[in-house]
Amino acid sequence: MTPRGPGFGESDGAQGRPIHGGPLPMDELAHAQAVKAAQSGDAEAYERLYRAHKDAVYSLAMHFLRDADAAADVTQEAFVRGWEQLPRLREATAFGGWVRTMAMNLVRDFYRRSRDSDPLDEGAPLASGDSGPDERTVARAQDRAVREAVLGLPEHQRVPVVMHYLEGRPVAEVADALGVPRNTVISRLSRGREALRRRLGPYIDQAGEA
Amino acid sequence: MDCSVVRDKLAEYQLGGLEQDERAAVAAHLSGCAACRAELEALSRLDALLPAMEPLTAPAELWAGIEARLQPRRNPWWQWAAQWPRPALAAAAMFMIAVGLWVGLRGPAPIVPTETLAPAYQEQQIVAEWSSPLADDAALGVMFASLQGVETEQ
Repeated sequence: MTPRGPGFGESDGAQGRPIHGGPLPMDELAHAQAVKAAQSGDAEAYERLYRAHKDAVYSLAMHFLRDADAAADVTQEAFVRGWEQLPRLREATAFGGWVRTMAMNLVRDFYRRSRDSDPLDEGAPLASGDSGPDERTVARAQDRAVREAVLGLPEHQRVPVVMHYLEGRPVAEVADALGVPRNTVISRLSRGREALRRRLGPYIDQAGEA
Repeated sequence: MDCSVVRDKLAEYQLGGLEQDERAAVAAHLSGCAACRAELEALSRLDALLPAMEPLTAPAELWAGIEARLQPRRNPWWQWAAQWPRPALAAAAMFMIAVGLWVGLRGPAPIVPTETLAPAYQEQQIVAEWSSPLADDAALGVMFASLQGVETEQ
């Protein structure tokens, strides 16, 4: 597993994997109040929600798109759509997972549109060390396959997988952010993981042989 | 537990999502089954393939672009009503109920147009309506006078 950047380092007891450091930037009550106010049309409250979640959404978009302009566009669009659809959000605490879901759908649309022209991997940095051209090509193909496999998961599995495995958030925090019980998150992660295992079989076998 | 059942549960086993007895059964199976242990290792290698997301900071200027696109919220009527003070809301509700009752108690409009009724019957109806406490005296007076006029002409 590649090392985590700043802010990562704690451990999820269940698996011993590093997790995202620190709680969400707003406490639960302030978060719920901001959602309610924004649902009634308070743009300042929505700005507070934006500030609490913008980095997670932008990081997610950058992770998949590897393009700062595209990631900025996706972040903007996700929050504009979030404002439009916010009155339909029933569980205020689920805003974080909800806005990520919207961002992931936009990322997937963007990815599909860009797939033919293949601009996404041009110049994309890969953590492959001092590998030669062939190894870099293989690493690039693997990196792309992993991103496509995650993007290809059904929506209800994709966001928990991203939050748990890519953001490194513990299961309980993912459950809170999605407004679903812990066992539901575990079940979705489990199914998502099985799907990834099937799709990424050759790369997993290669990793085992190395 | 056979291999197919265990393999269905391996991801959940790794996530710590199984009940204690189920977990023990999977662990017991794994200790004696090399193929399922290999499958568990493959799932662990999958973790290594999933690259950690680098925490980045969104560009500072994004909010201005978002804010410019936020449409003012058109609240549904119940949210608009919820902003009223409760006494005003209660008074409005009472008024609506009173109007509803008045309209309801008036009964349906006559099926036969007034013009087609015999003048004597019309006269009887007007006199009967005149005794109602909510009767429009002036309107009934005009109707009665016109009825008299019709009779005079005949």
